[in-house]
Amino acid sequence: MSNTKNTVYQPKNKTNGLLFDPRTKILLLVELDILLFLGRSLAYETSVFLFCVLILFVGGQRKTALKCVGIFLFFVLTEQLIQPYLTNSFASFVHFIVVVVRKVLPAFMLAKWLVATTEVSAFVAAMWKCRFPQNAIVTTSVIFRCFPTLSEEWGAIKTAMKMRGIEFNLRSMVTKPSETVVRILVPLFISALNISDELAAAALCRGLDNPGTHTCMTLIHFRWYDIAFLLLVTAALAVICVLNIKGYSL
Amino acid sequence: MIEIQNVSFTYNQTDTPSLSGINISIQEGECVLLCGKSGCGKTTMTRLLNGMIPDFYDGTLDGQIRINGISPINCSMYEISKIVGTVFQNPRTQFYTVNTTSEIAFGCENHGWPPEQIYRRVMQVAADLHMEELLNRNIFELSGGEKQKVAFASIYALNPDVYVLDEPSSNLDYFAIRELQAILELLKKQGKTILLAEHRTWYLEHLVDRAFYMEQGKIISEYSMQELADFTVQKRMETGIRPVRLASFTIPHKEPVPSLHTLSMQNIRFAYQKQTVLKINQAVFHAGRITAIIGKNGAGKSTFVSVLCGIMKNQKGNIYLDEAEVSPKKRISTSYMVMQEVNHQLFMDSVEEEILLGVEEPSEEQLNKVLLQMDIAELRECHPMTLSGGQKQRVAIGAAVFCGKTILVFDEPTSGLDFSHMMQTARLVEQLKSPDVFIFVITHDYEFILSVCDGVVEIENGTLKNNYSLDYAGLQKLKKFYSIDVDNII
Repeated sequence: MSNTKNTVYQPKNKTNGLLFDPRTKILLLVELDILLFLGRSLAYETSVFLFCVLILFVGGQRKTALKCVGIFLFFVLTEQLIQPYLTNSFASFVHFIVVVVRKVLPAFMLAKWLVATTEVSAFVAAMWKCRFPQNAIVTTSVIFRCFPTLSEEWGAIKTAMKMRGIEFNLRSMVTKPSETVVRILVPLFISALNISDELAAAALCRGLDNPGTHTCMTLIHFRWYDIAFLLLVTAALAVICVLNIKGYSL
Repeated sequence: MIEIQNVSFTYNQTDTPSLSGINISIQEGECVLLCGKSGCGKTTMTRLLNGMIPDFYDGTLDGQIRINGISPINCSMYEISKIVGTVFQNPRTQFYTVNTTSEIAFGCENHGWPPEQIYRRVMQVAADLHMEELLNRNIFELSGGEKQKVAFASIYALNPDVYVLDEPSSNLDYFAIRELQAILELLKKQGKTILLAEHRTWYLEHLVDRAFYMEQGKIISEYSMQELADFTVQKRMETGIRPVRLASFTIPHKEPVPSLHTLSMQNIRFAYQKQTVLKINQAVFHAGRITAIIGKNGAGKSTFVSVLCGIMKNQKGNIYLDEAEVSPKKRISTSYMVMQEVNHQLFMDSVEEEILLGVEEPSEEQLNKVLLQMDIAELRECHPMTLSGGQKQRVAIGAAVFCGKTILVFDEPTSGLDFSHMMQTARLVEQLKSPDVFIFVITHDYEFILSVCDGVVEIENGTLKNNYSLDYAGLQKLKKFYSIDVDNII
């Protein structure tokens, strides 16, 4: 069993990263998402992006961080390469896609990090600590929990489509998008409805609606690095807001 | 002690009451079985006790309920969860977290126990239920039986006085049911009150003190397990209660349809993430027969049929139809699998469209024939999602028959079905027997195998351990697989 001094359970740290408090993760996600949209220049965008990469790196999502750096570089290069041909409508379409996706990439990275490294129970306990309303907690945590289950369902639905000879690939998405999408969404929605109902029932039967204190076997508290990261990002947000208000374009 | 007096309940969306005039009292430490056909009100009874009625399901409720002195109607679900623990039917959807350890701790966390105490309790639970090796695992890597065990552990951790179980065995294989039986024995020894809604009874013979038979929301009669064991097949069809003693269960079934067609596998290998998960040197299957595919959860049954149907491409070896080799692509176009979760394979807005999907120039006459054969003619305009589970299953089968598929696979078609619905499915599968159709059924259901299957394929660790016909010798082998005592027929 555990040979540490205190017997409080810690999950096996598969990711070898720092364990942030779930509240820090949510705040970082929100603040950085706002920061993303406060500047336009490539330099600004790159620095926000690199900061997110840093978070993923110390937060134990190194592989994802590296992948995202690759994607980001690819997008920047593509943008630079097609810059001269923007009069061509196709090129400008590609340009648009590339810029938009690059812009929101940091938000996606952080969201992925949040979901991949947070235990649902830690998330719930953190929300109780923040005194979120009960309905909000039940709903968000069920959504949180639905994603991995839905991806399982998705595998089964694809098999079923294969057997009925329904195509699901790039070609069918382009030639008959609505038909293809409907055929995926109908079974997926039905599963999602059933699953979320059953999940909520099972959780309520184990006292999820307790109005009093919820605890968490994994210790949740702010550590020095939670505070450091939060201070840094909050300060940056404040400074950049002020700069924006004063009319500097970033 | 549980006291239910004059309770009636009607769900908001319906007019007919799901429970009416229920009067029972259950002593502390008693184990009580609720049985009856699907839709008889068993599940509603369990919801009444764990407080989901009226908190989670709206409706009109009359009467009095008391559990250990408190009334669940006036309590929040959180207060009830201290006294009553519930294990649900579907192990897939009763997990709130994705890690087994934190799942077991989940209830205690909600009740605000100090972390050290939770940790000690989780370790205690794991020791009591002999499941240390299941700690700290990803929920998605577990088999159905293991999931159900973790679900039990999570309830056990809260140490409730009353356990409410809603068809806990319906998604489990034989071995997992044995483990479930052991857990129930432990609970009974601890003096817990247990209320089970269940169709399967063979694992309950020495556990259950009284059985209530329900029909249309009413308790019709009370039986002892001995009385349930003495039921005739006719009586089982009426009540839906499955046999108590499998050893003495017999049922006549139709002979295979004579056919010369064969489907054979030669040196099949399938590897997943560099690990060989399927290895079959030689196997021959005959058309016109129904072949049961049995084996533990995780033995490779699904991989076996996926390769057979061409859903997964085997890396090595060949499959022959009669003498001709058939490629995976060809196999997928001639095969069809009716999934356990039938919702996954219904795509269209109406039953008719569903059946016609993917067929160019369908013939009206053939369509009518299939609709009649599957007994869904009057449902032809309905949306598939509004149908009952059994009707959906028939629509899915109808679609397969209409496209002229010749390799039909059923994945656990009878899990969670009562005796009469199980027999209905058995008759339906039997109808599909024809000289050029191969039928395979992945199943754990002993009664179903006996009712309809002609042969058995046993898969173990990705290999074909046994392939036999269900003659007298075959039946002995099957009984041995289910550890049904052959000599001990009463």
